[in-house]
Amino acid sequence: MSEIRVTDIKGEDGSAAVNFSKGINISSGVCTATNFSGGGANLTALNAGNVSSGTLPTTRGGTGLTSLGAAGKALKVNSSANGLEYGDAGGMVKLYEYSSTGGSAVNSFTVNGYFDDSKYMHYRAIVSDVYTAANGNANQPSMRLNVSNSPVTSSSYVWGFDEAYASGHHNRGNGTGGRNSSITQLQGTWACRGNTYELQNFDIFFFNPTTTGLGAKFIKWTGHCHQHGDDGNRYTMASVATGALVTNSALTGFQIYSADGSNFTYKISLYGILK
Amino acid sequence: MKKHIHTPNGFKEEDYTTEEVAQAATDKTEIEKIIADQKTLDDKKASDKSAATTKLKALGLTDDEISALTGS
Repeated sequence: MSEIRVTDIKGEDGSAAVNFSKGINISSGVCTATNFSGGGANLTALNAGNVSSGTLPTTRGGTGLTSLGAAGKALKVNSSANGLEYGDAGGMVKLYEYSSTGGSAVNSFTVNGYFDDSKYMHYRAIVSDVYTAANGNANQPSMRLNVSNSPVTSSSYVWGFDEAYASGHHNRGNGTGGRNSSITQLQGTWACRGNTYELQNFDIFFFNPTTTGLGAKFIKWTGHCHQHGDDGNRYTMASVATGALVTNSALTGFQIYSADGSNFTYKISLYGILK
Repeated sequence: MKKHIHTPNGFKEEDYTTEEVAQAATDKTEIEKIIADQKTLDDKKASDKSAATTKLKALGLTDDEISALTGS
């Protein structure tokens, strides 16, 4: 074994690269060059942090993408099924969310302009933590549906529900004699107010609110609330309910209000179900 | 009276308009009538149930048997 010490090795013409026809083993130290070429089949311990260009394709376990999608978007296969993209995932998409809990109490709120027929067919609104601080008025919410951005106040609503509480049942509704000017009761006549645990919650589903040509727009909801009455009795109720506005027009939103003048705080989450 | 308005253009808290205050008064009258009508029906149901229970007891049924029969 011998050792050769040089400062520069060149091909025989003084300018060409040196050929190592049998390969070369570098047992220690760093092999440095401006560029490398040829197959990398035997390279090991590669550091991904050193990759500075190019895109790893899906065929190699990558995304084929060079940038991150917007907040809340999901990575999914594109409509041509030949690549990945960021977009809305299937199922429900959150369209809006708001909480007034701890803030100012109001007599009503309106959610309008979020229905988008080009993307969604049905919608779901979760109205939760409805809370009235002051004793006195009962805060039994009512609901109206919006056409052309305004709540419909004509006597065009039908509604009804079955409600279980303690050992009893309530059957409420507009009756058989006519229609009401609202979905007058979302939870009946429970006076949920005063204590911060006397809350009301409603899970409201809108069937085809933007469809036109047919004669009614239906919703269904379940109601859940707890009343600690002035007489000391505590009731917890659950209702299964349906309602409709008799109209050919598309809905643009909805309004929930307290007909007895109560002030309340609330949370609202609105979701669209993708077509 | 205050209201919240939620649209894609933003959130607003506003006072009720004169028309909305009038509508709220109408709504209050309507719901008070509905609740009164419901109470009349509920009271009648309770009265009918009480009368029916008395008659069943007169026939010899126990309270448990009446409860099993009526589901309450």
